[in-house]
This record gives sequence, structure tokens and C-alpha cells, in this order.
Amino acid sequence: MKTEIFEINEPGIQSTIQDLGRYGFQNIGVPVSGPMDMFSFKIANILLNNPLDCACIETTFLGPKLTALNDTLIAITGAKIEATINDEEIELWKPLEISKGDVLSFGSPIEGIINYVAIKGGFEAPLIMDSRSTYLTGKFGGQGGSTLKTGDIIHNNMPSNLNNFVKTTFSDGFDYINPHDPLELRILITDVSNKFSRESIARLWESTYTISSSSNRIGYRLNGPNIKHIVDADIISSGNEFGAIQIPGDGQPIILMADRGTTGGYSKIGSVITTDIPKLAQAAPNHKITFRPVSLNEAHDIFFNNETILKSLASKVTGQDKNIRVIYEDEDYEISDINGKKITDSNKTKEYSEGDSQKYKIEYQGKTYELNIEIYR
Amino acid sequence: MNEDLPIIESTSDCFISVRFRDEIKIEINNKVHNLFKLLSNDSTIGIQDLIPSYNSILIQYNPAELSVSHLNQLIEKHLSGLSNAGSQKTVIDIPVLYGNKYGRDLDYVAEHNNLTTDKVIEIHSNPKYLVYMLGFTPGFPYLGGMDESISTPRLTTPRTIIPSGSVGIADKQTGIYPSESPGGWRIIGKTPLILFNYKQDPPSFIMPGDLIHFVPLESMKEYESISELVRSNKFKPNKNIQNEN
Repeated sequence: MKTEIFEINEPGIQSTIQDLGRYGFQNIGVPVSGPMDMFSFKIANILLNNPLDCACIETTFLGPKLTALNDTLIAITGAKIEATINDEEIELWKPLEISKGDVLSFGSPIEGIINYVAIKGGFEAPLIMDSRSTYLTGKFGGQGGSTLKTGDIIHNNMPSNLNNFVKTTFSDGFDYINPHDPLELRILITDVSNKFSRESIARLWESTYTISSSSNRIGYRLNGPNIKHIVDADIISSGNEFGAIQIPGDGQPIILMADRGTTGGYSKIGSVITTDIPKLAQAAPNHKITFRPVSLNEAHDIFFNNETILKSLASKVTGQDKNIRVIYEDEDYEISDINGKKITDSNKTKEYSEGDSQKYKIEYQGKTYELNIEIYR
Repeated sequence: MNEDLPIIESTSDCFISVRFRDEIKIEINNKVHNLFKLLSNDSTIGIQDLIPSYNSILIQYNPAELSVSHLNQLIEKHLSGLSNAGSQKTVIDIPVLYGNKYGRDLDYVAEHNNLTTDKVIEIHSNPKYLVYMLGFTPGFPYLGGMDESISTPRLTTPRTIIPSGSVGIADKQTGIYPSESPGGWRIIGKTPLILFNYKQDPPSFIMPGDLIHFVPLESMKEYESISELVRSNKFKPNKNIQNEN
């Protein structure tokens, strides 16, 4: 049964419904869409013990103002932002109760530009080609194929059941976007069409680019030194990757994002590794970007580490395992308990029992994340 | 035969491309569609999506579920014994009203090629065009096989709105706009059919590997009557199966 959850009082700049994306239709030219920042999106659902494919609201720059029409639980992840319920500031990266009549509103982002608002059970929207994601250019998916509008009523996807809910926080979730530091993106150099000289390729990672203000969900355009082609920019049209670095004739890179066209006829010099796409997504126009090439093996190692964080979070939240296995595989990824004792044995398991509250610190790429797990009634 | 072996390469940490010779040719495109079928029917977990194009397939996969080496083996398995033979093809009639308000560049195309407008229509509606791929936007067909005697350069300044269903020419290519969009193609006509509708299953009227046959309409009246049938869901498309030699 669908329950009315929010009325949109102010829509924000670009608020859309997104789930994991629309797969299986790229062969007929239908873009994937889905979250720009997959990491924050997934954590928003994990925090509420939702299946990962539950639809969330994705906000850009300035979020909406919403009135709750029923009680539910919400979680907000993504950019550092001042969000309030009834004018009282709320914490991000944790489940929060919201009651009928409460007003949720967003200030301008402080670091990063994209937020996700998850609700228990996910937002309801018609399944179009197996997905609830909004594809703005195609005018389908989500809330009638468009951004949220004033007066829209949005529903949840199943009756909210607040019983036996495990409350988890992922505090200081990430603050990977410091507006003053250049963002280093790790990339794979591909140049499969042999369109670039070694000089041109090196130029990409020796230079600093800035994100153009004409960036959107389709692609982030960069301004900076031209990447010259040996002959021309045209290739036989072929499939496009999420994060592909396309170099059109003018030599200014475009990084292809969630709403990218399925195919394209411009040369590509490489691709941003999957784990770094969320960081790019969170970077505002004029943000400085640099590139560092990595190998496919490195990219996959980083990918697996990231998956491990998400998986360990998810398994703890769902509490399906009586034993929580802390997976430790890589030097870059350390888990220690709240007292600072490192958990380093890959087979080490911790007993999980109801009523327990468990706290972890996760160190990942030089940053420390706190993870608190407690039973919530 | 070795030169016909495709290049298999990672183009990202979640994508692998299988690319045949860099040519736009029916035999090569047949291989793409044949490989697409084999991979589509493969139930291996971890393959997320497939994007077939003129001479390549881009495979999106989840490295957490399917290792790159396992995926490589899988591709090799399906490549061995891959045929370049065309399978049965569906020939789709696309009714088009050429010229007048729906094809305002028809006169220019005729002039540019020193032909009468009737001759342009005759040449354009004669072949069966192969749908090499769909891409760029939902349902947009990349067609091959246009007679070069009607090729015409693109507009220097693209128009901001091309209505959906418009049939156009850009250099040596012809195509149809499945949805309203900006564009620089020379528009010579318009079909009353709806080529992409997300509410339908399948959403695209045309599929990769199909053959398209443009059928000239005699009058605006005929266009309107087909349009009415389409709107009321009573239009019976003319699709025939053709065995390729």
C-alpha cells in the first residue's frame, strides 16, 4: 500500500527521483540514469535497512522544502549541508524520525553539491523499463519524467514498518570535497582508437582543469589545456562508459555521467575509476581537477575496498549474520574498534547480539569514518 | 582469418569492449548482433548491460560479481565459432510524407544534387536500410545504405527543435528523429509513426539489425489518417521477415 510521505513546498534547483539505474535497455539507446554519486546513494538506503534499489530523492545545489504527510524514517547523505526539520538542524548520515506535519528543508551545500534523501521503503514511482530513475532529457521515469515540482505529493513504496529497526550512523560520512583543494581523480588511460600522442596523454595528467558551469547529469565539461588529436576526434560510434573521458574536436574533456548518451562518436582518452566518480559528481563548477593514471589492477583493488565498506555496513545493518565478519584485505583499509584497537585478522568475527551497541572506526584512504550500530526500538 | 579476430580491451574498471575491424560493414555488424544474442542469453551473473554498435559491443559488468579474467574467458568462448552470417531480418515499412511543411529541406536536397524532388523521394525510398545500431538517444536508429547521389551536408547552424518522426539526411547518412530534439540534419519528410514510446513493450518500434523501408505517402490526408490510427492504437505496422542470403 502506498502512503503519502511528502508534499513538495519548494522543489529546489534540481530534485529528481533516482534508483540504482535503468539497465538492459542501452541496446535501444536508453541511458542508465540513476545516482550521480552511487556511494552516498547506497549508504542512504543501507542506513534505513532498505534494499539498495530503493528510490531516493537526488538533490543538486539547493535541496527542496518538504512537508511530511506521515511518520517515517529518513536518512540524508551526500554533500555537507545545513538541513533542518522544523528549523532545527539535523545530522546527516544517520536515520532520523520525521513526523506528520514536520517540515524538512535544506540550505545551500557547504561542501559537495549533491544530496540523497532516503525514506524507509523507498519512494514510489512507476517502474518504467524496470526502473524508477528519472531521465530528464527523455522526459520519463521518476515523478512524471521531470524534476520535483511545488505541490507534488510523493509516496513510499511499502507500508512503513518501524519495528526491529537497526539504527546505524555513518558519521562524518565523507567530506571528500574541500572546495579549495584540487580534486585528484584516478583514471585509466585507454585511448583504444589510437587518437592521441603520448605527449597529449601526458598533458592530461600534468595539467589542472576546472569544471565548467555547463555541466549536468549527462556530462561534466572541463576547461583547461587542449588535448590535441593526432588527426581528428571522430570515431565509429560506439558504446559509452560511465566516467569516460571524451575528447571532442575542441580538445576540452567531457566526463560522461549518469544520463550519458548510450553511444557516441567522439574519441575517448580514458575513464575515471568507478570509485572516484562520486567525488567528481560532488565537485561544483570551477572546482579544480587533476588526474592520476592507475592500472586496471589498482582500479579493481580500490573498487573491491569500496564494496567491502558498503557490504560490511549492509551486513551489520541487516544483522542477518549472528557473526559479523570484518573483512580485511588491503593495507589501505583498516577497521579498528572504538578504542582504537585494530582489527586485522581477516577471519576475525564479532558476536552480534541484540541489545548490543557496537562502534567501529573505519580508516579508509587516510580518512576516519565512525560507524555506530545499535538496536533501535 | 586472424585479422578478423576482435580486440578485447578494458575501457574502464566496469566495462570491456569487444571490437571487430574498424569498418561499417554488414558482415561485421552481423557478428556484433550474433555476439549480442549469445551474451544476452548467457546467464552468468555480473554482466549488467550490453551496448552493441557498428563494429563493437561494450559490456558493462560488476567486477565484484564477475572477474575480468572470467569475463574474458566467457567472451572467448562465445567468439569461437561466431558466425558473420545474417540471421532472419525484420523488414519494417515506415510511411513517410516527403516535402511540404514536414520536409522543408527537400527542395534544398534536390537542388544540391541537381535532381527533382520526385527523384530524391524515389532514390530515398528505394533501398532497405540496415539498422546498424540504436543509440545516442532512446530509439535513434543509425541506418546504413543511403544512395550517395542524395547526400547533402548538415545545416551549419543546427535547429533548436526537430519534431519527432522527422526523416533527415546528414552527409551520406539518413535517419529518423524518434523524439523531439535539436538537430542539424536536412529534414526531407516525417513519419506519422511513433518510434519510441516508453509505455510500450518493447519501447522501440525499431530494433538493431532490422531493415527499414520508407514508403512515400501520397497526401497530407493519408498522413493524418495513419496518425489517427497510431493515436488510437489501431495502427497495424507492416513488418515482414526476410531471410538473408
